[in-house]
Parts: sequence; structure tokens; C-alpha cells
Amino acid sequence: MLVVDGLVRQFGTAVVLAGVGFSLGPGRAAAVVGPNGAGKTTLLRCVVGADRPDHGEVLLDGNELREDDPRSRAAVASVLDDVGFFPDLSVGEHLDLLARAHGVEPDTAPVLAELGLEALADRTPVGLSSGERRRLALASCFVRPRRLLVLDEPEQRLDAAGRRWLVERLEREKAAGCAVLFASHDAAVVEAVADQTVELGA
Amino acid sequence: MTAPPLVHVPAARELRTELARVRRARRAATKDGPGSDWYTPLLAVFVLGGLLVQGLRRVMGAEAAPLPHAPHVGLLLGAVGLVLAGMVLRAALALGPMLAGPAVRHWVLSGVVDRGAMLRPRLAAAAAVAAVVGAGIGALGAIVVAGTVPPWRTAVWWSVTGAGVAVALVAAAVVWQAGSPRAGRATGVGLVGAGLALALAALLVPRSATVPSVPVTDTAVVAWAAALVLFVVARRRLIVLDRAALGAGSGLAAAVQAAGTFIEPGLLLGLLEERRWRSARRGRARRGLGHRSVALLHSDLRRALRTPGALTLGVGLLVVSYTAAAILPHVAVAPVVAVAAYAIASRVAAGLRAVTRSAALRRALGGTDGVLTLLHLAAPLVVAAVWTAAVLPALLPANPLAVVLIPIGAVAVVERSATRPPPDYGAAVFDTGFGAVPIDLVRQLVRGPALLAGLAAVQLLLAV
Repeated sequence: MLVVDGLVRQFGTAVVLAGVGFSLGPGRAAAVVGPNGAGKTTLLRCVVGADRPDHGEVLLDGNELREDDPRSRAAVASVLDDVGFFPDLSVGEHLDLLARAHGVEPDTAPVLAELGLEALADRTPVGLSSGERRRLALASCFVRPRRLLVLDEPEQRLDAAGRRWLVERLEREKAAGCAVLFASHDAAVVEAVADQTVELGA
Repeated sequence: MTAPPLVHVPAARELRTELARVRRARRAATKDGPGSDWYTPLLAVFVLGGLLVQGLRRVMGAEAAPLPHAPHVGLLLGAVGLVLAGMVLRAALALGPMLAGPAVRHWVLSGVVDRGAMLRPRLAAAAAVAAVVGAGIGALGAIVVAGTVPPWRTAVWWSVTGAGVAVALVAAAVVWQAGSPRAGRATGVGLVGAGLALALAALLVPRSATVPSVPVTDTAVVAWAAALVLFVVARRRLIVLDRAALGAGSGLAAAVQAAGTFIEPGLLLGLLEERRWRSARRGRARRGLGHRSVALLHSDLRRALRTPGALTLGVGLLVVSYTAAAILPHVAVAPVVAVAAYAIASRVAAGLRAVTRSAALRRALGGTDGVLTLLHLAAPLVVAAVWTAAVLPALLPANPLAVVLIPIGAVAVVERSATRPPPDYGAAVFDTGFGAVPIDLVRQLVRGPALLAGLAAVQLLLAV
């Protein structure tokens, strides 16, 4: 389903990704692991089209994954480190808007309930804690269609119960046929979810 | 291989309307937002509109009285135009020019909605703003060429030309953004280089020579033809703008906004400096020299020599200074050179700014704040002195005191700017009747620029 081949990304003379390659099938999960500065976020950004690699290619279903193609955007749901929020939209309105942008009828209540955001549905993001904002960002992946989930350190700012929920949710995503690519420093989450690892900076 | 599923694409207009409706409802619920202070922009429109009408009336009522001009003035105006166009292109590509903030990118543009249709109003708005600003610059050019208030028809043609060129530049930047921003940036540099070359050529043209002039009407037609073609191409290319392209300038845009909101140019200048250093090649790790003061001096001098773009800026400012010497009255040359010397000294003062802005760095380096500041002034002073020596022929016959004051004054301005404390927003405010003026805040902001203005004034007095 997803094939990453010979990905190279350099900033100036600093080579962050030097020919990274792997493939990921539907219903499977790959964890990107490595020390700080190894290029985990850069790799995920290149995969979803938030950054452009200098060389190499990212294929989805055998075709180049182009972020400007609506079919790619329909297939790939991602939460990286660049999620922003509208200061004047409530939690519920954010999710409603995203569902509409994907052309699906908004049904946000189950997702809000699952992520413990039900009571916060009318609040604006400025009134949320960083952990709650993280949950809202993750919720954005589950109100829309998806076949590939790309998450950058999804366990960040989640409490112990939140991490248990995350593992269970990612397992359900896999069972539904969705491929999951995530970067993580949490060995327990990697152990529980990943079917394969992509090691960087080794 | 699984075939990609067909998706239902929601209409961009529907999504925009929905977003606007939700935001209006939220503002109405909180009784806050732009609606509560609607009179402020209205007042600004009234005042600026009045100034514009008065200006137009003066232009239209004036008699044509063009001053005799040497041919090099036209060439220099072309050079200024090229440099300006190159800088506008670079700035537009640094910001986007099509830009979407993180919220819009994640919650709206990540959807399957027609991205081109979503971005079309932004392109139209950018073109409209460019047209207005370009028209203003064109009118200014007409005034410079005429040497006085130009005939109104001439002013209108120049404005039309300026508007066309500005729209063409913005549209071209969008086309490059959707294709190869690197090529666009290279073109921007090329335009600045061509402008400097034209300025040099203008200096070599004998004043009695005849240089063929291009009718402004023809220029306007060419500019608008290019603008329309590029606008149509840009409109079509909007659809290929991806998340990387739309987000590339959002950091810079946020810095511009923050610098404006907090009246703190340092927020923007700091980011620009960081970007310059990021674009630099990696410095070769070398052993230091000596101990304490000598080591700090040596490392700062090495940093100054590594500063990205410093050599290009220095050469460009030399051309500007020699051009000023060729066309301006003698008394005006030294102030121009003083400002240019400040610009080059400031560019190589990254070390000074680093130690003055970071208490942690000062603690790590040890010694008193005063000594650290003095040590980090040495490299900018050396660079400013060498640059002043290179520009000396343009200043002749020069007052020795004025010449000595140029590098010293430039470094003093750099020091005042670098050691400016953070803005104190709770400082004293003076109510003028037209609004409150935060006097202390203004005083803090002009700490460096005021000394620069003083330096220029002293140069003017010494040249008289």
C-alpha cells in the first residue's frame, strides 16, 4: 500500500535522511524510532507531503503520493507537530468543519465521547490544556475517511489512561484495514502496536 | 494494487460560507471581535481617503513643469525599479505568496475540497493589494522623473505601469511557488544584480549623452499584458500548491504579525537572521586562538567573516554609495554613506546580538556584561572601517572628522540597537486627543534609529 523508496532530505549540508526505504501494507503498523534529531519527524513530513524530499519517492497504491491530489488527501490522515487551531471555533466546530471538508456527514459525538472531549465540545482551543488539545488533534483523524494514519509521537501529553486508549484505538484501526505509520519514543506503545520498525540514526 | 477510491469533492464556496457562518455566530455569542470596533477602520479609510483625494487634486490642478534631467537619471530609475522588483519577488516567495496558516491547513485544506477554488479569493486579494501598492510606487516614480508635481496624465500612466508590474510580480511568484521556488528566488537575485549593474552603467554614461527613452504608455501595456497572462497561469496553478508550499512561509508570516502586534521588530529580525544562518554552509570547525578576550575577539571576527550575504551586501552598498555620490548634491552623500555603513556593521554583529539578548550565554562566557559587549563590537568596527575605506573616493573632498565618525557612529548605532531592552508595554502614555501615544515605548523603539538620524544630521552639518 505505502512504499517509501530511497528518501533523501538534507538541510544545507546536513543530511537528515539518507536513502530511507520501507513498505507498509494495509492493516499493519510501522513505528519510526530513533534518537532526537534522527529525522523521524522529517520522514513523516515527507511522507504526508508537508515537506519535499530532495531525492526518492513515496508511493501510495503504486502511484506517487502527491498532497495536492484530493485522492491522496482522502486516504491519508495525519497529526504531526504543525497542527493549528482556529481561536474562535469550538472543539465540536473544528471536528464538524473537518468532516465537511472531507465531504462526509459530520458525526462527531462518538469521537468526542471516545476521546473524553464531550464536556469540552463548546470550548474554544485556548481554554483547553495541552493534553486536551492533543486529544482534539488526534480526534481529527477519526471523523474522516482514512486508509493510512500518520502520527508523530501520538502518545505525547497523554496520561496513562490516554496511552492505553491510544494503543487500543490503533489496534482497532489496523483491524479495520487502515495502515498506521507513527514515530514514538514510548517503547511500550511501539511494542504493543508496531508490526515493524523503521530505525533512523542507528 | 488497490485502486484509489473516488471521493465526493465538496464545493469550496460552501465550505467557505460554512466557516464564515460559524465564526460569525461565535463572535455574536461572545459579543466580541471586529464588529465592536468597526469605527476604527472606517476612521482610517476616511483619513487616508481624504489624503488621497487632496493629493490627486493637487496633481490634476498642477501645471506641467518638468525639470531638465541628465540621461543617467532615467537609467538609475530603471536600476531602482529592478532592485525593487527583485526584492519584492524575494519577499513574496519567502512568505508564499499563497499562504495558509496551520489551522487552515489542518482543518480545511487537508480535506478533499477543491484547493484551487479555496485559494482563488486569496490570489485575487493579493493581486488587488499589489496593484494598489504598485500604483503608489508608480506615482512616486512619476514625481521623481518630473522633478516636481507631474502632469496628471503622466502620473496616471506611471501608476498604471506600477500596478501592472506589481500584479505581474505577485502572479509570477505564485507560479514559481507552485513549481520551483528556487528558480524564483534566483530570478529575484538576478533582478537585484541587474539593477546594480544598470546603476554602474548609469555612472559611466556621460551626462551629455542621449539615451533613448521608452514611452510610459508602451511600458504600461507590456506590464499589464504580462500581468494578465501570469495571473491566468497562476490561477490555474493554484491547484498544485501542496501543504509544503502553503506552509513554507507561515513561520515568517507569524513573525511579521507578532512583530507588528507587539511593536517589536526584533521578533522579525531575529527570525530573518536565523534563516540566513540556516541557509549558510556549515562552518569548518577550527581551533580557537589565545585565551579569554583574544579567543572571544578571534571567534567573533571569524563569525563576521562567515556571515551569509555580508560580502554581497557590502558590494551592493558600495554601488549605492558611489551612485549617490554621482547624482546627489555633495552634502547629501556622507549621510547616505553613514546609513550604509550602519547596514553593513549591523549585518556582521550577530555575535553582539547573541550576547546582549541571552543572559544564559553571558553567564556561560563569564566576565562583565560591559566587557563582553565591547569585545563583540570590535568585529563590526573593523568591517565598518574597511568598508568606509573602500567608499572613501566617493566622499572626496572629505572632512576627516566626518570620515572617522562614519564607522564609529555606525557601530554606536549597532550597539544601541542591540542593547535595547524589551518593550515595556506598561510604560507612560500621553493622551494627545487623537489617541494615546505610549511615549516611553516610542523612546525605546527609536533608541537605535534616533542615533542613526543624529549621525546623518551631524554628517550633513560637517559637509556644509
